[in-house]
Amino acid sequence: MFDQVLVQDWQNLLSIAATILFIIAFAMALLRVFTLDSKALSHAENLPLEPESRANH
Amino acid sequence: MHDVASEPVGSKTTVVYDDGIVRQFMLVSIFWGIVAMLIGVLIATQLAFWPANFNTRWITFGRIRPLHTNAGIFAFVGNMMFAGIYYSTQRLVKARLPSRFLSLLHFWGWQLIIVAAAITLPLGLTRGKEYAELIWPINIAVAVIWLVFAANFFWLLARRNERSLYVAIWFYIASIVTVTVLYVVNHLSIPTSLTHSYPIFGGVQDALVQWWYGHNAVAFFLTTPILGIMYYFLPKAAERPVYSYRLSIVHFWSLVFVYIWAGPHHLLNTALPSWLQSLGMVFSLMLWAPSWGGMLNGLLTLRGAWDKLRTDPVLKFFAAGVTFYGMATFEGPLLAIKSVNALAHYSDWIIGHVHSGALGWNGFMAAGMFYFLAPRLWNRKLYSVPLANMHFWLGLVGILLYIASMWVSGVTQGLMLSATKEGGTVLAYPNFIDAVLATRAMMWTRAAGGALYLSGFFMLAYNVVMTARGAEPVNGTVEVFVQEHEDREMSFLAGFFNVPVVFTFLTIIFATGWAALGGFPGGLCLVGLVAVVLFALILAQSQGIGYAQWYERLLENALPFTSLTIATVLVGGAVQIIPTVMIDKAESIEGVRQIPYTPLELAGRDIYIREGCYLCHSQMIRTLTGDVLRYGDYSKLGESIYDHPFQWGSKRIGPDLARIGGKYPDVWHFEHMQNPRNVTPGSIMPNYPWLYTDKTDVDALPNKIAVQRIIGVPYPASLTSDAISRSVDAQERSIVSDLKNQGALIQPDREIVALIAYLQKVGKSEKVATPAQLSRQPATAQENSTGH
Repeated sequence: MFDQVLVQDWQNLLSIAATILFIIAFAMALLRVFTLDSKALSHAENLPLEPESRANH
Repeated sequence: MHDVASEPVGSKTTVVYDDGIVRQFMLVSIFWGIVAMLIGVLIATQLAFWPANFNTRWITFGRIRPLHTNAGIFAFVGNMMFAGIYYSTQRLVKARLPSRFLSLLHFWGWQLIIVAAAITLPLGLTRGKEYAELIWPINIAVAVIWLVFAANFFWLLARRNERSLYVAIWFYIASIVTVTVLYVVNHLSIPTSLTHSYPIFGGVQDALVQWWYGHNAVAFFLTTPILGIMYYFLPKAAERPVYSYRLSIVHFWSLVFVYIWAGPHHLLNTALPSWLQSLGMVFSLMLWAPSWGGMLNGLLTLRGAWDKLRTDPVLKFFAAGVTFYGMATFEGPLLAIKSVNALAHYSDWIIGHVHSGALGWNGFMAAGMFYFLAPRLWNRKLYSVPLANMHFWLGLVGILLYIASMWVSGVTQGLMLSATKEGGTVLAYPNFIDAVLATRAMMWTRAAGGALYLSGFFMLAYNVVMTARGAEPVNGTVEVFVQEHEDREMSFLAGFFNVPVVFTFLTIIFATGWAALGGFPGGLCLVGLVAVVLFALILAQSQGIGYAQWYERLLENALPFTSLTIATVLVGGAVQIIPTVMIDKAESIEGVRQIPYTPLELAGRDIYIREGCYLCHSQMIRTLTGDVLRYGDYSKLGESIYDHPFQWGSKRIGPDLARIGGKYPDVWHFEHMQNPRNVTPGSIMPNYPWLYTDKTDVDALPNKIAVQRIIGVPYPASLTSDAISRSVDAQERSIVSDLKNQGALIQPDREIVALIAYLQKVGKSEKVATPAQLSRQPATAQENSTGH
């Protein structure tokens, strides 16, 4: 019933390339996470918890 | 300008944070939040009870709905975000904001922009694109002030006394750079006057750019900065580190990478090319994983501290806010599935979805942050914890009433408007008004839910004011060791041109080329891609640099990190937008081409945009049986190619207008705009009495047509100022004469005449042979004018 818009063949590749690109980016982030130094990790995750004092305005 | 209050103590320095600017942003956020919600309750009431439009142009739904959304997004969440970013970043990098001048310029510039928006939008000065309505001079001001914010932020990072960049700062960086790109691209316009412009994109291109922007405004203005705030304030309030820092890294990269691709899910089943629809849907579904990873990371941070939720309103708001984030980000991808979208799109379900994010995620995270900050910024206990708890419960009930009513209403609308009988050949509910009347009770419920939520915010305002009243404002201080980080020093240029960043950009360029070009050039790009990867591996091997070292070096230096983030977000936009801009228009108009508007029709179209008609009426008949049976043949790409801006719409409070031209006589429109209930009993549309008294702005037309020519609308050179005047005159007289014959009297120069001219043109197009057809039948190709 409905004609779809003409799609040029090369455009179909974009969806595949996009997914591959994401997988690469994801794998790189994952690789980094697994190789993260535990000391650096502990330091980073405790950054918000460091104490502070207050002074008058 | 270097006003860091520092007292060197040996190798130690005492840093006094600039919390004054945090206080300012926080207080105005509460104020603008209440304004935004008050307008929200008013427009919700208007949808249940149309006389609440008061026959007054400045508070009619179409004009103040953009004020509600802009105030909610840019004024309430914007100011809250700035407060949270300035507070947390100073502490995470152990340095004071470098420039009081930049901070104040940022603050007052942003407030002036908000005031300008609050004045211009009710006046009907709009660009006609959702969440991008502000006129071009304000757009420039937004861009400038945003850059001031960016400069202040990156300067702070450059002066930091902490080597590591905590994950919250990554989210802030991504937000800053992405919003800059999105805002600039979607606001590219050519002015016709000081208050009016036409966007350079039109039709499908404008639709794609708009929703690439619209979706990612949600992503990078309403989500990523708030996630950064979550990663700082939630551990702080729970007094324990984030559940998994590792997970937060994966959360960041996957979210930033995936979000930017998902915009086309706002245009499913429309005339948008199908490959883009599929791309948008697939990436939306992929968003489930990072979103839920982030939500679980937030909620599990409360492990061992759940008991505190009973007594601590801050944690209550944060826990509920993060839960709403999870619910909204579950619902979003669900709605991006084509078949679900067929039911939900254009319905109130989307409004409910948006508000579960806005009220639940943004509003509750803001409230939690304000309750956390108030005692710390004024060094005094919160005025009333019970009042804060009452705010929480009122807000929660308000949200639930709101979103439940919108689900019921949305599903009702979707089902009724697509229902067919007799084997799918006849509509079960042929009158659109049936769906409006069926959901009237839900409109009242929504208004009540919004009012409850607003009452909670009044309590918050009272609580914060009473906490601050008579108290001495204080600034946080911290003693830091000033360390020389020689290994992390990088010049500005080196920040962008360093080995990892160059390799990443080359990889992206070759991968995109391989995907986009095909044939021999595509093959070359593939070879280049493999060569870049191999060369990177060889270089790393020969220099003994591990991937972790590279990565660490990047993360410790804000500039390369920023440029990588820019690359990540640009690639998603470029891959979608560039092919659409490059697409062969002659091949892709599906044999139908829009006829450019006459001068009077163009003037009428600008009135249509000024009154915000697109907020209630779409102009896009989807490739769905219900749509086609109700409104006519589905919309083709070619039918809106000259529409700057596009008017496909995102909501059907009233019926679609894509083929309204010629459907009713002129007098029907005349009576309809005067009082819609004259022709459609039960209608909730406002009256537009001023259209019958105000004169059409004909003087602006020569400039407007000149700009239309520049952006590609084929107006002939013979259409001079005199010709425009003659054309307007002739068409006005023709319409007025027709109206007179049907018993309606009006002066020809009134706006209603121009609007009728436009409405009668919508959907009129000409059939044209495509180049493919021409090559098959060169002798028979000819153009035929037709109105659908």
